[in-house]
Amino acid sequence: MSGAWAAEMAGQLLGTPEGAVLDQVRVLELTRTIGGAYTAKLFADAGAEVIKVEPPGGDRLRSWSASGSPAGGDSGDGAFFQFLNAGKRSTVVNLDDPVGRERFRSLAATADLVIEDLGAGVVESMGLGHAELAEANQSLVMLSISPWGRGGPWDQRPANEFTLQSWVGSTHSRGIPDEMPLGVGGQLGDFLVAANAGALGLAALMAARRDGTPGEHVDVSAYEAMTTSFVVYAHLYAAYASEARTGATRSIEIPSVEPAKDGWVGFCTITGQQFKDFCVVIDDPEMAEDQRLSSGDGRMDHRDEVWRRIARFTQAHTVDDIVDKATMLRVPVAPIGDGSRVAQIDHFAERGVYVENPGGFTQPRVPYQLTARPVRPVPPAPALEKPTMNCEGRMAIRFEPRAQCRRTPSRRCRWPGSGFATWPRSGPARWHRACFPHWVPTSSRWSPFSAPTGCASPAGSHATTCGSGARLPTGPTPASAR
Amino acid sequence: MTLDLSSDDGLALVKRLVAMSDIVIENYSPRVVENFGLDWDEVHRLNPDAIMVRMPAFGLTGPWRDRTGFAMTIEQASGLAFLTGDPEGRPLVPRGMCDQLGGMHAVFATLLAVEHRAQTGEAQLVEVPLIEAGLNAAAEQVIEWTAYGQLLQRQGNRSPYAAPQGIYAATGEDRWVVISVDDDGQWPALATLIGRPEWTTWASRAERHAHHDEIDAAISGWVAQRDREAAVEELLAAGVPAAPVITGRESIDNPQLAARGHQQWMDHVVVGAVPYPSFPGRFNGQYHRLRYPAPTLGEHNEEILRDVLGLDDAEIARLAEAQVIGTRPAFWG
Repeated sequence: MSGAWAAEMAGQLLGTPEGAVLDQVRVLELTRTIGGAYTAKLFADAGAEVIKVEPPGGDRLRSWSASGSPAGGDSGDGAFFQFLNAGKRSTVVNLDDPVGRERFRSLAATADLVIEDLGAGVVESMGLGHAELAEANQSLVMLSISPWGRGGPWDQRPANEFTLQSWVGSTHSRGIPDEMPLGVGGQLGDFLVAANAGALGLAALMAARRDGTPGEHVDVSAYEAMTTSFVVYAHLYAAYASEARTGATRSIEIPSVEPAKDGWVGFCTITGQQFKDFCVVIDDPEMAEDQRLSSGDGRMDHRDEVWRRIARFTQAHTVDDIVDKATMLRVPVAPIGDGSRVAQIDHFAERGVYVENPGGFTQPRVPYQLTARPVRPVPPAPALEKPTMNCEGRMAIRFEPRAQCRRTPSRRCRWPGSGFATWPRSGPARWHRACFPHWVPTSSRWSPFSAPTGCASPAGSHATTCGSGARLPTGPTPASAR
Repeated sequence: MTLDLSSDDGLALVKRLVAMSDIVIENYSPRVVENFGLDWDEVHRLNPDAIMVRMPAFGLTGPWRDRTGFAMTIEQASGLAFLTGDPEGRPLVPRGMCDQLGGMHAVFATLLAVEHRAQTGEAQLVEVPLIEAGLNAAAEQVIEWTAYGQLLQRQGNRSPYAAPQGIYAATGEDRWVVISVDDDGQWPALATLIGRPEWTTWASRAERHAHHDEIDAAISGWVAQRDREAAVEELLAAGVPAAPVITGRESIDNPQLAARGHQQWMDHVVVGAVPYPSFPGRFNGQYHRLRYPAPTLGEHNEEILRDVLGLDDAEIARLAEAQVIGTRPAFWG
């Protein structure tokens, strides 16, 4: 063995400095929600090869814009889609068609993780549940995200982020008494569910990459994620606190978002001391001594008076001046960010938090930094596979079921000298592409856009006609999440 | 456990614990652990295998570095508050979700660091500022602004993601029903249910947004004649996402949570048996169970000092006497 080869192997097996942590991991993404797409984005950002499996016509988020700006089709993919799918790869598979489902099975046989959010029971009804897919790939992890989780009397109930906010008791708590309750805007719940799902899925993936550990089906419930984050976990709270406290009517924080001379400014007074310091900030020390106003409930009861006294100061000063003064007194404070302002904040500019997407817009970078791993520029999101180029069965050509890979490792897979024993905690070497030369190396990995013009059928596949006979896949999109 | 890190004994003991640990996690503002000399360089010197996860509100660098920030501060700065509330009124904080949002991103990043260490043998510093998870959850606002020049606004209970969407008063006092049509396929059923089958032609969300006032009036009239629970049952049966506006207390009696077994009852040393939430997902049908209920302050002082660090009883008693360890907050006297 030459030293150069050993060094190369070491670089590959130990992860090159340029490599990302999950660069040996292949993920199939079968999602239709923002939360599902963001879950898979977590894995793509960590270096996994994420293959987005889209229905004919493409992910509906390709034509999504929250403002109704032109997106999709001739306008190009929507910017939010490009954010959620940067660095992923994409292929079109019609899961309503047996041939498409067979293609999906072939792909799943080569994958480490399948992420899906089609709804409880949907992939199972297509014969693509974890049990079926694991037959050909026992280490496969499936991460399912559904509103209620699988099983239980409600798992087919229609629900979405907004109705789940209410089911967990959050909506009731927000707003002015005697007025309409108010839900949380945006899709914060989807992101929370995604962050939970990502962590649980990664844990299961790492467990399955240990030798001999079968992959698990991780069944995430959005309701359960939100019941522990959108409210103080009411069940536990009820065990500690009295009936009266847990049934309290709705309120909003005071002080919280207050009007300044030139915009909104936000405070947060969790402790009594912080409220007293806040009173100093707004030049109203009498308020700090007023027993009626010492609690959040008391301030809510006298909200018009308190808001008037706060505004007397805040409306006479700029956001910057108020933030400086409150910071000096160590009262938690922030300017109110919005789409036009937040990326301009000097703190984020200095830290490089906002970066350019190749789609020509600004986005936040990955929200964590691993200091031993370099941060990469945002890669582009995949274009939708052109239906005219589509060729049923083609995808299966370049991939072999993992079970077969495992029986026939390449001799180059041996680590000179110490063997695999240097990786006691997990088994990246077992999965390394050097062990499986028919897994295409990164530089020449399969791409849906570089398929051969003639489409040879792999043995046992259900490939249909190719070339001039290529047909446009038809059929409805996968059943909606319920 | 408790340790007074401002004492020489306390600092020495925590350094011994760092030397024995796989992961060190802290989420004070950055100056706090640094003032104790427990920055990354020192942690790494004490234990080259230890991963350190730091979760300041705003980051380890930058002009806001040493500011205090809670979840609600994050919600205010990130834009999440800007999208919550009535269009004419002040923005409202969502109220606290950013804590768990940041925490679960930190779990993900920590697992990546564990995997990196397994691959390379190298431990590293992981930085997960609370604000940056919030900025990703609010990313759509900056993206819409920089891609299209559009400033997303709060819309009360309406939303760009669903139409119609709203909260409607049912019979009785302060009883409300949430309805949110996020899929075009749900609309014909709702239009028919509220007695407006001719409106099913508003097949797209954009069309229904254009007629949102009319639709809201019709839904309001329909819900106003019904009991909250009855209305929700009818809507769900028709395939329309709906919910009663219930309190946290009312949310406890949820048959779905009970059937899935999400709650884990454990005996707490003070309050007895209480239901703890499991992680929000099952692994092959099973939850990973918590091993312990929440500890009381310093509950395991002796166990850790004696069994992990090998201190003898006399030494532990001396630490208690010197108030290096304790079981009640020092400022309570």
